[in-house]
Amino acid sequence: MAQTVDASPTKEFFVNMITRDISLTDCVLDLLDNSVDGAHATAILKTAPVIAGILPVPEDKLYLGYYTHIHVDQSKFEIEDNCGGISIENAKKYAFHFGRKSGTPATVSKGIGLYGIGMKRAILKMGNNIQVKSSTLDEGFEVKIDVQKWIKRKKWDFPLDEQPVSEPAGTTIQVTGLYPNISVEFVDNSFIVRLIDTIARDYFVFLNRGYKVKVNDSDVSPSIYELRESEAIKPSKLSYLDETGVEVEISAGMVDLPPDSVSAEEIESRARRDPDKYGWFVICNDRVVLAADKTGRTVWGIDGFPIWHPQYNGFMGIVKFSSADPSILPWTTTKRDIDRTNPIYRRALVRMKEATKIWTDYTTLRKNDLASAKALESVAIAKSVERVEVRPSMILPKFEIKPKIKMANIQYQKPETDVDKVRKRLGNLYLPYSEVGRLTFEYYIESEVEE
Amino acid sequence: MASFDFVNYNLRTNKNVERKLIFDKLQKLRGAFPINTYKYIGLGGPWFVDFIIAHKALEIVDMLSLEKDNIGYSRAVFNQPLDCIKVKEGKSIEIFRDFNFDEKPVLVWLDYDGNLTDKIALEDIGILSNKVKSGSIIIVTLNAHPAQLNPFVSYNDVTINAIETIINNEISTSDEKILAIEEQINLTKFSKLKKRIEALNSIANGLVPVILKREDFLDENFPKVVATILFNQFQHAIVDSGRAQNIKFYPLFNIQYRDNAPMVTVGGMIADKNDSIKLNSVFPLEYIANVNKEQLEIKVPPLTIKEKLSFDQYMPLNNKTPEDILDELELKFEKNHLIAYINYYKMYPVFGELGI
Repeated sequence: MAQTVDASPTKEFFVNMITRDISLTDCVLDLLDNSVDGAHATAILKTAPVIAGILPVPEDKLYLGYYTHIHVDQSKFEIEDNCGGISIENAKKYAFHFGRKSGTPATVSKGIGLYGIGMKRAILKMGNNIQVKSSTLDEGFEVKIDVQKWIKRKKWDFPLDEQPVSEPAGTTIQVTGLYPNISVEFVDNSFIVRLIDTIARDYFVFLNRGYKVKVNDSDVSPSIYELRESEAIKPSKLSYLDETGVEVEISAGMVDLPPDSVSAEEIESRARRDPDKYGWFVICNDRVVLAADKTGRTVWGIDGFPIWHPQYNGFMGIVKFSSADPSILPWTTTKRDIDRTNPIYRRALVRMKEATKIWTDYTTLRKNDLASAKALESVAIAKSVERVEVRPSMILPKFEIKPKIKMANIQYQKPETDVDKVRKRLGNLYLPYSEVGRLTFEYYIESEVEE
Repeated sequence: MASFDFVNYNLRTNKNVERKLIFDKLQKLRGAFPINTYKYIGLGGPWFVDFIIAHKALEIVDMLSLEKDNIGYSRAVFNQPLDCIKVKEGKSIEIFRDFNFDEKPVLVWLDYDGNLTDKIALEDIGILSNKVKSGSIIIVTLNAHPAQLNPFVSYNDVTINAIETIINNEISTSDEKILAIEEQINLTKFSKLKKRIEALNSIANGLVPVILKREDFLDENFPKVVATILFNQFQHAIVDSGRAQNIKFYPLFNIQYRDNAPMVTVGGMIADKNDSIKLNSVFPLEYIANVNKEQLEIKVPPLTIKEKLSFDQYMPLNNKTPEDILDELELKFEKNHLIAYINYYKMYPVFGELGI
């Protein structure tokens, strides 16, 4: 006799599955995405031309007044915003429903939240006792979940208590009974620092437009995205409408002076000084998805394009995708990676490669006349990416190839203690080894060889 | 500041008090932990001062002193004061890498010559927190003078080079040059604070307190920053090692003292659930929670023998105030110094010349 097998997943299995593949930082960012979406939905209304004599809010101040405060410690996670709150209808349909119901539209036009899994995944990963309180201008509710008890129950729904409206309109999520592996992360300073750095980098557009994020009482200030510009050096910026209706904007240029030589020492000292900003940045609906990418996720080492090399240091490219429907943008569900097979992205890649090629060629050409190249590069000053003018391709100096002086490379090893003595005499204990070599050689030429 | 506020650095009164204070606390732990069966690991130098106390006060009979170079090693072997001390030559990190920590818990006190910037302390804390058995105690002492960041902050050379390149450039217009030079100057001016924070981040990425102000880099405050970084490293190393669910770090020491440069000593116990209960029977939770937040400052004054003996006649202090003492002795003396002395009078060392 045929038997039926109960193939419906247990809740425990389900919770385990959805929380497994996401990092804790990304969980927090998922919740932040919800806040930012809320702010966007309410703020965008204020940009409408003139409601009863009130001037529309300009784009660059769109998020002024909106905030998210994140607090973590060893016993509690809390995220609080004033971004309009969740309506009871939305709570029932999306926020507390597993997976967005098919056929429902994206919640926020130009939103960054996706698939309606974020909030549940985030809070289920953190701890056992969850409290979500939210209030719009018209209604409020509270959901309290004891995960252990909920797992034992047969039904999948969450009890929702209606509450009086409270001010400001917004949402507060609190998780207590943190799981031990979460609690230890929350007391680790490295986690906090990483979280702040990631928010600064990935939400810079929102932060620049007035959005405020605090993590454990410290303000997050946006990362600065600048390209250098002068008469001889100018970044490119081009924008076009993809056939799907997605707006695409690609900027590329010099963010830092290229390295003199590609010695390991110089690269290391540069890397220590600055957060990495060389490579490609991919932005979807104002949210950074890939930062300083030097891999095949963007152009490097793919389809005959060279792999990243430190000689290219100094290059920054930014590609922005914007769409009213976030689900067609080239990002994955985690929003931390791009989907390289997405045709919109593939079409953009063609132009990204063109922009990159100009730079990679230049880094080889400039070696022909390094002195003039450095002189010209040195006067290019930083300009925020938003203020870069439209220009189809990057402008970089061109050099006539000078008759080549045949050069010889010299390489040798000496005890550190001796080199330090020389450095001291040269007046700088932090002089790179290559400089010590060059200066001592020049000294010899000057005093022993030249007449 | 008058010259009697300075000490003969060889005598290091405050260091002496700090050492006694630490062994005093370790002594208290003996009620709950068999510290005499631990292995003591330190940087004994040719003097072995801490080793001798560890043996006499804690009755430890298995000790290891690390010497990083050949001369240090030779002198240490020559001067080794007790048979139960072994000396090993090598960098601490290399010795710890091959060391078998499973045998027994350890009491480690690494009293470094260096500061944060050489990263040795951070590396050692990293490997020790990873490997030691529950019940082990790790203490580190470091120079905490803010000047250690100076080499990272003096960007003068870089700026001058950049400006020279701009000026010598024969292609660009002067307007362009002026703008570029302005940018260089602004970058340089753009606060020492930012550079200092960057420097700290490059040394101790992820461990630096999220909020740092200008005042945090003053002589008297920087030791607190250093302590926080070290404590963060203890916590972080345990999370990193994957042991955090069973084992935690419990801070016990957070001391600032100076004889010349400001120094900082931090440390604590690595303990599992069982050991943490034992630890709390000696040092209650509130005490441990406070170690992180408040740094103890040892600042005893240099006293003449006559001053010391006269003050001692009022100890332990009962009804009288420090002012009363000074009045009765008809002595003009910095009141804060006297209070500092009263706090540590039992540990105050007296140095004398030996007739050898």
